[in-house]
Amino acid sequence: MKFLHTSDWQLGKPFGRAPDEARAALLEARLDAIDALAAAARREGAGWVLVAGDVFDSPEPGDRVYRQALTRMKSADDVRWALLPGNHDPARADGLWSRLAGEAPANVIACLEPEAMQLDEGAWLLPAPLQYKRTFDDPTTWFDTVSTPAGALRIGLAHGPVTDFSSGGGAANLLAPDRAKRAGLTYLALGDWHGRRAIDAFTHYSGTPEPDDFGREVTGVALLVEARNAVAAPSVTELPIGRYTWLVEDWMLNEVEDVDAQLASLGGGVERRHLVARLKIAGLLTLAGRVAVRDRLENGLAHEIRWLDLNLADLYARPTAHDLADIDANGVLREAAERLQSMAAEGDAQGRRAAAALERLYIEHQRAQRTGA
Amino acid sequence: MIVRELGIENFRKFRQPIRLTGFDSGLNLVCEPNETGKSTVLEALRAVLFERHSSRSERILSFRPHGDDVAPVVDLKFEVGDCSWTVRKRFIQKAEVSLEGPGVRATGDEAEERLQALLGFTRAGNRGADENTRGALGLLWLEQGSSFVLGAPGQAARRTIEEVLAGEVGAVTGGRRTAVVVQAVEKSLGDLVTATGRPTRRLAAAQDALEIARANAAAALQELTEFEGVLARLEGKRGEYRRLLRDLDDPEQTEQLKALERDLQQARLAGQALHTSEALLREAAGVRERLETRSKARSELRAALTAAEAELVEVRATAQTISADLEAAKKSEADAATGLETAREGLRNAEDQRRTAQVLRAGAVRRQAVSAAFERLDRAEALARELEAAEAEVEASPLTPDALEQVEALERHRVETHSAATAGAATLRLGLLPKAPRVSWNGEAVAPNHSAPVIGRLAIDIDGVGTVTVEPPLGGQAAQAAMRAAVDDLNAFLAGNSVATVAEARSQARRRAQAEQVVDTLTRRLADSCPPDSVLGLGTGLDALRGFLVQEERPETGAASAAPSGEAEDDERWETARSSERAAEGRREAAVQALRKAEAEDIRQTAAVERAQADVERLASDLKDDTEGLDDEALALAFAEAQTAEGRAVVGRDEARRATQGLDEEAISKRRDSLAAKLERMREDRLSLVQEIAMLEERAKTLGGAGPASRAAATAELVDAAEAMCSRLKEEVEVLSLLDRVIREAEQEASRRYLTPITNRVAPYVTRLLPNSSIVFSEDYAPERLIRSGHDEIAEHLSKGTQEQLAVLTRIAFADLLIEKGKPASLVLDDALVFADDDRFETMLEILTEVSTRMQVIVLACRTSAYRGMPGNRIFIS
Repeated sequence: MKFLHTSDWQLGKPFGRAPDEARAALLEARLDAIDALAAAARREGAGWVLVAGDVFDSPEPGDRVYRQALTRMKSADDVRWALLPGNHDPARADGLWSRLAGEAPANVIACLEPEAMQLDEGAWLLPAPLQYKRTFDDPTTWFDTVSTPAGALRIGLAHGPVTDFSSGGGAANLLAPDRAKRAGLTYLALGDWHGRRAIDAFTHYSGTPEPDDFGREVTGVALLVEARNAVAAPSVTELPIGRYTWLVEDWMLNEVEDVDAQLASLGGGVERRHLVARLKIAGLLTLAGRVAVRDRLENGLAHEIRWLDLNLADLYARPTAHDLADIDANGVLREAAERLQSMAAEGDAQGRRAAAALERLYIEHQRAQRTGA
Repeated sequence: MIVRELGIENFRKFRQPIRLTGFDSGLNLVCEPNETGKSTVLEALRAVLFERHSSRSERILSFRPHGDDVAPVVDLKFEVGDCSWTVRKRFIQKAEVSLEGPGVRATGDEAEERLQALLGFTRAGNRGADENTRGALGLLWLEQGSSFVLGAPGQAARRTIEEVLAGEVGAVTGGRRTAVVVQAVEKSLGDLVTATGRPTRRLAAAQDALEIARANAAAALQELTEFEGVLARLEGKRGEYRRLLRDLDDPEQTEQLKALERDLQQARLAGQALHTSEALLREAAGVRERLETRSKARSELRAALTAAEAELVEVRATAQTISADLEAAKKSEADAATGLETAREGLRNAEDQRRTAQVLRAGAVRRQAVSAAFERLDRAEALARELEAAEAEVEASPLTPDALEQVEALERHRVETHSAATAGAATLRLGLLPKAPRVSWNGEAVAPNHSAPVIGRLAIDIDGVGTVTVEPPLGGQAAQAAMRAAVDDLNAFLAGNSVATVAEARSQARRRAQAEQVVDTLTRRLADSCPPDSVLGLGTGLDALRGFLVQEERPETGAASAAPSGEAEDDERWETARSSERAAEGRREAAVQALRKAEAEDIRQTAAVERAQADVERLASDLKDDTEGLDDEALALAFAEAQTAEGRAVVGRDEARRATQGLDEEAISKRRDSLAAKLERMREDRLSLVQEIAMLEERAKTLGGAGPASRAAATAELVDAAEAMCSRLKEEVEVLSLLDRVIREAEQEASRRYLTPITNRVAPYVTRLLPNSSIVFSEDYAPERLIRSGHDEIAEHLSKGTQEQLAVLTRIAFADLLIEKGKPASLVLDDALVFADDDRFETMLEILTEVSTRMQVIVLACRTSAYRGMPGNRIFIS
């Protein structure tokens, strides 16, 4: 039996901190992932797509996202979808899932009860839906005792971490890492972690199909799982699904030219328009250098990629005699520049402000020169 | 810069073309009388350089000669450095400009721009050139009336000065760029905050966006809370519904209801039994009570009968005693009545005798009184006649005290007026020899040594000689007239009162007063002789006496009869009879009262006997009636039976009461009703819960469809973003403000540094003009203060003349500075120094002459004589 394992779609994630134009695109990309998954399933001959929780970003994603999701799944009617409530969209009474159970198309199944469900001939799904955002009982415990026809494939579907990373213990929704073994599962499809991770040969996190944040170990894949029998480890293949690559990089610049090398290698072969980058630039440059770097990033790269979250706070400018001469050899502006430079040397909040003012003076001066003043 | 030739046509007063040539490189004097056109020459000079040829501003239009629709034309030949230039401008009609110079032939805007670059001024504004655009030359070419203005140089001039000064202080240019940068910074700042620091445009928009984002977030959160609330309520209602159904289906409750019904039935039966037994008990007790009462009443009846019989015996005995008393009283009363009649007879006799004697005595007294009255009348009539005579004497005298007072007043007035008349009058004194003829004075002969005051016309007749007339002075005539009037008034009044002199008046008045006193005395005596008489009932006065005696006859003398004696004996007799009568009356009264009392006692006692008799009879009858139906024995038996029956009824009632214990019908009924009502309520609650749950389900669906949680998360993130944007913009404001501030501080600092060279240059001139003085400039290069021998004076407060001289000297310093730095400069003064005194004027001319060795100086002046001694090239307009 072949099926796709995916999780953490988190449809409707708002990306409120991103600029408007990026926000809409990022939101839409998550919906597009459904189409990409449907296409992949079709291509690979997988009849089912099992979604291991957090289909939606919240228990009430709103009608648009809800309808879009259902419509897209419905239009891929040669694929069947099993959806599991996760901690972001727990199956509480009268909420989203109650509606979805009543309104979903025939090829979409909401797994709202912890009971075995036949997927195909000889293949049973054991879903562990979350009823609450946080539960402290392992929702997969019942897998151990539930019986399925002899020789049938037992496929677990659950949402939660297998490791407690919290300092004080007592993490919510914690799952037993050896559940597959204990419950005699052929495969345990897990969700919650946005990065793809194999726990053992039978237990896998697929990660989110569409990366959604900086600094996460994400790959933007779905897993193609092929189970031949109930005992052998299934074969698991990663299928690329995601559109955007989220990068977090810290650049140390010693001179302006360093930025060129960094820019050239940014994102490897990923298309620039599919890049989302958080850059933290550090270093000490001349004033002219800092202005040039800022120009390259703010007026160049920022427009090339989907969203540039740029932090130049640690990119310091040490105005050189040349920089100051650029502003003026003498005269009022030179005097102002020198005053600002000495204020900036203080390094406190006012100093940082003075550094910014000096840079602004430099830029305005250049601009004035360009316009022929 | 050196002006060489100036051609003017159709310009203000120069309709016809004129050409001024022969300008020298040094000092040039254009001395012409007023209204020759000197100022127009300067105007044309400024126009050809600084005004745009294509402009049609009011000033340009004013160049045309009055009423002429022609095109003003100006051309100028000048030198800058070693190069000659020619500029020609035609204004308004077919406006054009041409500039020719070494290798340059330019027209139109190119010519204008080259000219600006060459001479360091800027393009004129729409209203024409002004001090801000004319540059250094504008500053140095002083038009009429502006030479004494101590203002700051305009922008363009200042820039030029700053440029040259920047070199001087070791700096290079930057003024213009500074302005551009400041402008850019302020524009950026103006995009964020207003001049007063209030947010505007971008910052205001960002803050508005933040407010909106916050409002949205709050709304979303509220919506989410509402949604969560709906879900929570829904869950609560569901639980309630389940519990309700469980309670409704509870079989125990039905059982309980049935048991209560049973208990209720039982309680009702027991209650009825108790009711019956209580009625029986009440009946038995009633029988017993009735018999008890009857027995008691019978004993009481017997006791009353015995008492009544004893009473009757006693009452009868008393009645017999009282009858005897009554008879005695009747006899006493009859005796007393007889005594009274006898006493009354005695009293009547005594009274008659006494009254007769009284009448006789009264007649005698009256006769005596009448006789005395006639005697009094005779005396009074004599007095009345005397009084009448005295009153007639008073009436006859006119000199009443009032009249006398008036005479005295008139006499006093006469004396006063006479004194007044004599006071101012001359005194005429005769002194005649003994042999002198007789002299009369106003017809009156006078003694030879007579003298008198002249208080009227005085005619002195001297026999055989003539008449001398003396007229008193006119001034004394009023006093004399007053005196005459006073004499007349007095004489008239005396004549009116029939007396000749004041002395006679006084004597008569005295006599009248004496007569009045006599009248008073007689009047009093008359009143005393007619006193009131109580015997005759007479009042006071003669008239009352006369009136009474008219009706009486005068008794004969000695005829008065004596009154009968024995009045005291009569009175004593009468008093004794009256006492006897009163005593007899008292005795009779006492006898009557004793009789009445005895009669009343007799009646009362008779009634008591009858009443006691009736009581005895009634009680005996009652006792007989009571015992007839039920004798004493039977009554005792019936009472014992009734007591037994009551005891049995009590036992029965107590049994019934015990049976009802624990079966309170009312309480059971209440419990049953409340249980039934509870069940009914639960059924109703179930219905409303079903409805409520359906409503909440629908509401959850609606609210959930709007995606409250997503919206809340999204709006919260948008708030963060908006806040970040606001902070960023505020930081930008801080940065820009700082930059702006620092540049301005640097500018001020620079200005201060630039001032030194100007101060240094102007110092020698100022010292020459005003020894021990120096000028201090403000940051915009305007002369600000004059320090004279250590005293600080505000430049604006100096005299006009001094201000003008300082202004010219400052311009010379600027011009020196410009020339030194190779900038075109020349000095034009139009009617300057008009306020200078002769010494200062001399000094100023010396300075100007000196200056003209370094630059071209053109002096336009109307006072030819003042400049006569000045060397230099003369130029004539006409």
